[in-house]
Amino acid sequence: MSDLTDVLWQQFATEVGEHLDLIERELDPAAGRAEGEGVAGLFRAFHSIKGLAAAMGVQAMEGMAHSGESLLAGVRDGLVPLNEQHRSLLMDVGDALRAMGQEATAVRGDVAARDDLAGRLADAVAAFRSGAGTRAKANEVAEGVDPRLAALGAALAQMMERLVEALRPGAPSQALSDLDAELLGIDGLIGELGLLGLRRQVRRLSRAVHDGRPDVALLHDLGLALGVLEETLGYDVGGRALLGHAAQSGAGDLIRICARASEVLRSAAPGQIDGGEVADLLEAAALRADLLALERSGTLLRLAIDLLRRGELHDEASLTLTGVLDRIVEQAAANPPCDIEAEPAHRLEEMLRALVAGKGIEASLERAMALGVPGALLEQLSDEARERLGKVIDDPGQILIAVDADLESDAALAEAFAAWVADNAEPVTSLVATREGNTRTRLLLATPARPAAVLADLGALDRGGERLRVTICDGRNDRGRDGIAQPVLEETLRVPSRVIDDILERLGDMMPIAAGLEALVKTPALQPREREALLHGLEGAPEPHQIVDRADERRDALRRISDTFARALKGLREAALELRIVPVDLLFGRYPRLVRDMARSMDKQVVLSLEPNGARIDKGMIERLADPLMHMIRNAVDHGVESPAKREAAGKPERASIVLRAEQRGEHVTIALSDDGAGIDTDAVRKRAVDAGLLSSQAAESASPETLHRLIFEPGFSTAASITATSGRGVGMDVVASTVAELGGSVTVQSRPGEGTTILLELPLSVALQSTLLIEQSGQVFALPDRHVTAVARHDGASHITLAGTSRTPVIGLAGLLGLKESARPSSEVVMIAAGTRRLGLAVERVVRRADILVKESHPVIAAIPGLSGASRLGDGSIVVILDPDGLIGLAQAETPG
Amino acid sequence: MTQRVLIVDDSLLMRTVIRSIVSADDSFEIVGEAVDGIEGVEKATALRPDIILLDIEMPRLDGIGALKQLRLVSVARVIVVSSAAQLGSPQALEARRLGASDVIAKPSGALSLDLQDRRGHAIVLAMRKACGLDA
Repeated sequence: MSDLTDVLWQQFATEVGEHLDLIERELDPAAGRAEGEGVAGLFRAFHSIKGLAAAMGVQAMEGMAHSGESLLAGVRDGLVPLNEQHRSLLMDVGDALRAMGQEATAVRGDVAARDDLAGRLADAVAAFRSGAGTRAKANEVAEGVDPRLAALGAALAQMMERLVEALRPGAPSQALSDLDAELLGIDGLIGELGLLGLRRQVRRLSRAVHDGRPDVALLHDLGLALGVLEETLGYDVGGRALLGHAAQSGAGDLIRICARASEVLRSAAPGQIDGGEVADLLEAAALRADLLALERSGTLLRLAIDLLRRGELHDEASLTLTGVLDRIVEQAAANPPCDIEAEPAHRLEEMLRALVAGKGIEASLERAMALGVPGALLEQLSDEARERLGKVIDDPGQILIAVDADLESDAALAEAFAAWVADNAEPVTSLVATREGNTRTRLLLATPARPAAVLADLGALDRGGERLRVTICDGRNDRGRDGIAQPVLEETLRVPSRVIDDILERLGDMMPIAAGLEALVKTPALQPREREALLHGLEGAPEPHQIVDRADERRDALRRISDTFARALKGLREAALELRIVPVDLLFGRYPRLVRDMARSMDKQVVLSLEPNGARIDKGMIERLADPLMHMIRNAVDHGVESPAKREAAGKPERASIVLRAEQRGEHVTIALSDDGAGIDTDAVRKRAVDAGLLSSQAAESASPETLHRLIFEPGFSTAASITATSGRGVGMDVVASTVAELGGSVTVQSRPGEGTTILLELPLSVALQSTLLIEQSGQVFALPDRHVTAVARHDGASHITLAGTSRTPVIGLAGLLGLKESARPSSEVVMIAAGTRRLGLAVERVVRRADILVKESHPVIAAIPGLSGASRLGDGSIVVILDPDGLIGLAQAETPG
Repeated sequence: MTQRVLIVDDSLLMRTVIRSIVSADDSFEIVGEAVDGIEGVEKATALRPDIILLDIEMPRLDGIGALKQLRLVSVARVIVVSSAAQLGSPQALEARRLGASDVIAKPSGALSLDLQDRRGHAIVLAMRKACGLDA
């Protein structure tokens, strides 16, 4: 599997997904779309999917998207309403397309068609096509028609009728030649209307009837042109009759032409076939196939024309093509003429496509990519360049090198490089890319196979700079070309170009720093002579105070560079983080459908409102949060929301409301799911907690509602009275809690009986880097995520602490909490931590400093230890254990109940 | 005699790229550009070009719709230049059926500055062929 194919399938998956997301959003009744609004967007989305599927050869999807598009075209043109039935049909189509897209991406090819759905769609489309709609459209268009055009239509209709009559076998030849002058009579009118294309056809026809009989191609062309006119006028001006007449002689012509083409192919010596001649014959045959409505034959013939026009005809292609032609002749000879059958047509089509893709140009491109030629250089090759490329690859005496050159800033280098290329290499292709005013030329060159000499030559030209970047494309850097092709898709992101520009700009900011450093390195503190003098006590040695001054100056210079560097790096990091941050809508968009389907199956009325508030979140987190959020929503619909009857009895609106809201606050995002249902049943929780052995009956009696609410996040806890199809699928709320903890976030729950429940997830914007506070305890360094640290205070040994603006908070020693050996040194400081609304003072030995650390996914063993969330390395390579404030607070509460 | 060319494409970038490719050949003169099918048909009527480079995916009126209209109002040879119309695709076949002289893929990637490359570009070759000029 080539890189190019991988990239294309990735793009296909991404783009189809985006269009389907849009379709789902637009079709959602909760989006509150007015009639007709958003239809254009829906239409375009289906259309784009059709195009993408066509591009990837997923015909099943293409067909289905096409039907969806047709239905929407009807809606757009006002022929059918976008009613509930059509919405739900289109939604099913969207689901099917999603599934097909995923399958196609996985198998890298076409998938099975969904005939059931296709049938329903076809019915819906046919219903309005055949209905009153079409007539309405025709009338509507006909109303505003230019009277001159109407007059032309009437004249043409009358003349075409007579033309068809005159063309009948046995008709007097006078009838035909009489038309000649009449046709010229409307020439002026056609010209006045600016219909130059039509005028040419009519003039040709006039000449043809004068000279004898018009040929089929002319009638065909005119018939099509009249068809367009008919669309504008809304009535028949004889185009169909003309095409019908032309079709009569079509079958005979088709057989004759195909047989002739087949003969040309068979009789020619290998490599001596005149592709142009055969293509012209097939062009004529395709036209006949159109006239006879032999759709599949027409498709095959046109595919063959493309094949012929695009490359030399080798023996295998010639053989396949002959097979196609023979088959068409065979079928067309039937009475009435038949189209080639679907199955062989499909197989022959595949063969023709494979010939184009496999044998010709694409093969040399794939081989070039396998050699490591950058894809960008291969994207736009002329036929000539492709030929050159193929020759170089086949020539063992030559290699390909890719050069990325900055030739704008140094005229001498540009000249020397151009001279080198002229003497030593042959350009295959080149392209120029400009970004932020920097122009770089990228070239693909063929050179004699002496990579070391090439590198040495170009290295000498460039004198070790960065102006010429050379890649030897000899396949050495190829990743597992001979390995097993793994259809694994890399995760791809769509990045706004603003973000990339920002990164490049910030990289640009770093250039002066490098220049400053270089200058500093190049200017020694002591000149060689001074150094000699100083070392050997000679005259001219600098005085000690001069040396000290210079050392100070250098340190100041270094400090300034260091400061600038730190600032630039911080900016760069922020810009790079943006790459991973995407709108939270991508996550939220998945759920309206779920809620609708669930509510329907449970006879509840629920509306899910999305309030993304423009919040954005790490792309990786979206994948991780998708399932936990789904479970929260399921719980809300299943357990939170009451039946309409109960709601009515409680004086609430029958339709329940669930709100999924996101909010971005600085470096973190909160996601809240609120329902206006019954609230958490604390009695049921109490009973279940005792049954599950989570609490003793006394503890359960005295537990506060808040403590009980938190129990729903305990592993294995479930209050569902019955295991329903929708909940109780093995993913419990404990998974919500653990996932959120893994992502460096926390979860809190608020619930009021009869009023509803809110579950609040608090998450960092990005999981890649975390700002932390490093503390030391019992000889080990720990990191506390910065956002959980509210204050640091001196420890006076008291068991509680009250800081300005906070309530009295318990203080607990970290060593005791984690079961570490108590250190000989007493705890000197208290770090105040908070998770949600809960707080704790941690007594620690020493607060070290703040540090940004890279947080990788924690090992499950570490993540399972309460109070710890993972481990990382500090800049000096030492291990730091990352604490989980939420877990620590939980531990502390378990130790000191109440 | 130079052939007069009209470029119809909704993307400024694509128009720029095509313009650059076409202008490398002295046989062609670009007389106008249009941003969608409706404007394309209007300009084809007003400017009477010899050859039209037509995109398929465009707002208001797409290339297929424009191609139909052009049958009536223009005698220009139409070459469909579209990423959607790749070999054997329904759009390509439909465009051919409607009388397009040729259907070729859009250039992709950055534009080559190599004049040789541009002269040999598929678009130019197709245009020369459509006008009966030597390739």
